[in-house]
Amino acid sequence: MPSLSPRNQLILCLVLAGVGLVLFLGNSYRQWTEGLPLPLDLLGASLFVAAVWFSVDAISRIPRSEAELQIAPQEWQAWLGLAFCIACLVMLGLNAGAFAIPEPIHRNPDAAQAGRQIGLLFAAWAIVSYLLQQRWAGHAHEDERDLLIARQASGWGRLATTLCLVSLALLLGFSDTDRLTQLSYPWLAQLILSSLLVGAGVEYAHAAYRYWQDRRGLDPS
Amino acid sequence: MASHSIRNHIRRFRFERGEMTQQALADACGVTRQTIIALEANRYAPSLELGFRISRALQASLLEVFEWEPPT
Repeated sequence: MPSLSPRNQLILCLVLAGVGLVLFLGNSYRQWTEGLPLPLDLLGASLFVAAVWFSVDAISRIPRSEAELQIAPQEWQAWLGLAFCIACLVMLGLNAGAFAIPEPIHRNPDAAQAGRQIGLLFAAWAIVSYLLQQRWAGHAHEDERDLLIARQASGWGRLATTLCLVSLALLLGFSDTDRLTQLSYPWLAQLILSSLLVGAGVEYAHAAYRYWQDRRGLDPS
Repeated sequence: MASHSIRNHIRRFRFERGEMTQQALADACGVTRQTIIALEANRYAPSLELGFRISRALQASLLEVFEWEPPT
């Protein structure tokens, strides 16, 4: 996009990324796509990744404001990780019904499609995270201050994961046998994955909160 | 990260060393610019190793750049 200014290129790319996300997330809830031979979720994910790629290129060419320079690379990663954890949890929640069917995922088309979408979301997360790191090429991405914040945040993440898994264990341990027979293995797998995502989300949220507090000069104690 | 009893004169030394930018000092010490910002605002107490690296980059001794104020 050589004729557009970096700022306009960024706006266009963000709009395209939004369209990609809508195609990716909304594909399974629209009836009109059933007759189409196109894998709109895959196209949406591809559009999203391509738009993000050009966004990063545009961002790297826009002069950085002083406010933006205050944000550390690991703080960007923390906010990004938090956003993707929330997106994955929303995806799992929206597709909870598909996992309730007591069939292996590869024999359940709805669960397989949901699993593929969640897999694509993880892939998009990894790509965007990698692209973000390229913005600081040649500079330090992480130092001892980031490691200190990460260590404190990981404690909160571990606590959240433990609480989720203990809650799941109690749910399974104290449920009546006839209710347990209604639970499917894919549904349990989804609950375990959700617990891990909650733990990761809490870790990212705590790190982002600490960076935000630090930038504002607030005492966290 | 609260204000610490370890104070520093990084900002003054940067300007005395040819108005070195925060990014240049960060690159010389292998840290992010945001850590230099936090240090200059006394919101972060560096490790001893980072203290030595900053002092070396600023061509000063550790005790010239950093000072410790005992808690009252």
